[in-house]
Amino acid sequence: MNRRALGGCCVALLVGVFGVACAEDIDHKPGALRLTGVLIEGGIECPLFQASDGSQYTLMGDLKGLKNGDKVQLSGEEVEVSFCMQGKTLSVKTINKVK
Amino acid sequence: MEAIKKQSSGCSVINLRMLVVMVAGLGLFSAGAYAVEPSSLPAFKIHAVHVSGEVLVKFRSLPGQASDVAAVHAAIGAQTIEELSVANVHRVRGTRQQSAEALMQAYAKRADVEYAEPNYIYTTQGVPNDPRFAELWGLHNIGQTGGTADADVDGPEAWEKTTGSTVVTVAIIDTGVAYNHADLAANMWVNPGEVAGNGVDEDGNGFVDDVRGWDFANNDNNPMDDHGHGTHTAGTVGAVGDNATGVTGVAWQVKIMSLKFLSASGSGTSLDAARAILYASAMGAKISNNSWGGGAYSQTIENAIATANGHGMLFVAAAGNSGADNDTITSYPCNSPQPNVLCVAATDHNDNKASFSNYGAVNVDLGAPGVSILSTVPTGKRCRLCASSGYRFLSGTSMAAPHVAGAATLVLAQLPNSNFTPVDIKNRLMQTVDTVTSLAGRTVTGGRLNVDRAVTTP
Repeated sequence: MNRRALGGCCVALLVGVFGVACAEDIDHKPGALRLTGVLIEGGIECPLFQASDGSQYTLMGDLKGLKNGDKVQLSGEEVEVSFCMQGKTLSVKTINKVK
Repeated sequence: MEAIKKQSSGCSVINLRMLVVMVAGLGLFSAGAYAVEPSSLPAFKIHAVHVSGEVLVKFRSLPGQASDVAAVHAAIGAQTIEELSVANVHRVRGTRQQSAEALMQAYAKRADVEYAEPNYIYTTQGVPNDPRFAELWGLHNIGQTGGTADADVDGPEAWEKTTGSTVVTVAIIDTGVAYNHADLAANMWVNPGEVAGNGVDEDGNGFVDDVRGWDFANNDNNPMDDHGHGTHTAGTVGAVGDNATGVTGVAWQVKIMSLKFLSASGSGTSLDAARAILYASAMGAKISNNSWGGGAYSQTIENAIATANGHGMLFVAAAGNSGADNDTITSYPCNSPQPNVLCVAATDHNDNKASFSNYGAVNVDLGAPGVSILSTVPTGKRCRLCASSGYRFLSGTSMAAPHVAGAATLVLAQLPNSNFTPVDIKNRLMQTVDTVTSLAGRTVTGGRLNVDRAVTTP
């Protein structure tokens, strides 16, 4: 395990220990996240997602027909630039409905 | 401006301005009517739009009883639809599906007929014949969506002065543009220095076969929109106006350069954004629409905007959709300090600032319509914003910015040979806003775009 990967694991461990966020650094790249939360109203040009820690992200990409109110687990990366222009934006790589 | 449109079913409409020119040019009408001179009848040809198969007939004196009048019409193969008795004028329609010209010819042979003329169709100057124009409250608000009349950019009034120009090129820096859209195709930019499909970079700009622009997201020469966002912004800037199709842009005529740097999912990189900006300015675009952002400052984008300023390109940016104060929370590139950046907030049909729109007394320059804006999208089902109709309503500051880019197009169209700099255009647009309460202290100007005033101010 290289130094960056080790650092990522440490961040994930700290998050888990203190329980302040459900964000997980999935592949040790900046901005790469796995999150659990709910699709909510309020997205203007892009769907809006609220993670279980309360943080919000606008989403880009294929949401597989999931709708507001659906509880989902998703993975993705923060994007540099988009037309969402509403807070932080994630490019969704995977998304699944969870119970 | 209140639209005054007189139109019968099945008939198209032209501008009154055109009508007057055409009628005067014919030289056939006296006081708007044909003066009967049976021995020297010209061939009738009506150039202005009129009710098909109808004419207005004025008798010098009515020929006896009403039944006699009916007999006159019947002999010609016509019947009275309506009578303006005070003026002895009959609105008649042919019973054999004759043209208006044929009817005029027939009536002109009668000595008791003072004149016979087409039943012309009048419409207010500047109102285009695009069938969904009435849904474009941002361009012409008569309260049709439940909002406030005249809470708009005064499109029809502006179009009395100019409807744009194909010498003005606007770059749409976005997800691409559906360049084959029926309401956009005629206004798309084509690189005059490049031959399509021969694998040669004729103009030496570093891009091979870039006939329609460039796709920086996929690094190829096909900037087709695979999302829909860019096509929507393009339609507001310059969907072809008065073409009896769909909607109209702020500019009826313009050249739209499609530069794709946002992917099919809608995201992109600072580097590709900078590449698109540099391409636009190098290839002659004097205006770019930038309905995108990201929050973080980018020196690479900043340098590209500065270079574009040197090439004389106005950079129109969306303020952002977080409902936040850009003076407190940076939104980039709206907050770029470059002098050619014009940042736009969104307003609704009551001239309220849209609840989602970012604002900023220092960093956001003016407002423009950005709620429930109808514009073009790709047809089909293969992209997120595609629609089978080719049109869709969207909201966002992404929709406000292209109203301003379109307005800048009209300003430049009036001054094709001027030395107007981007700052000059920016100042013109900012100095001619309609001040609105909702933007007071929340934008630099405290106002919403008024295109008419922008093209009227000397």
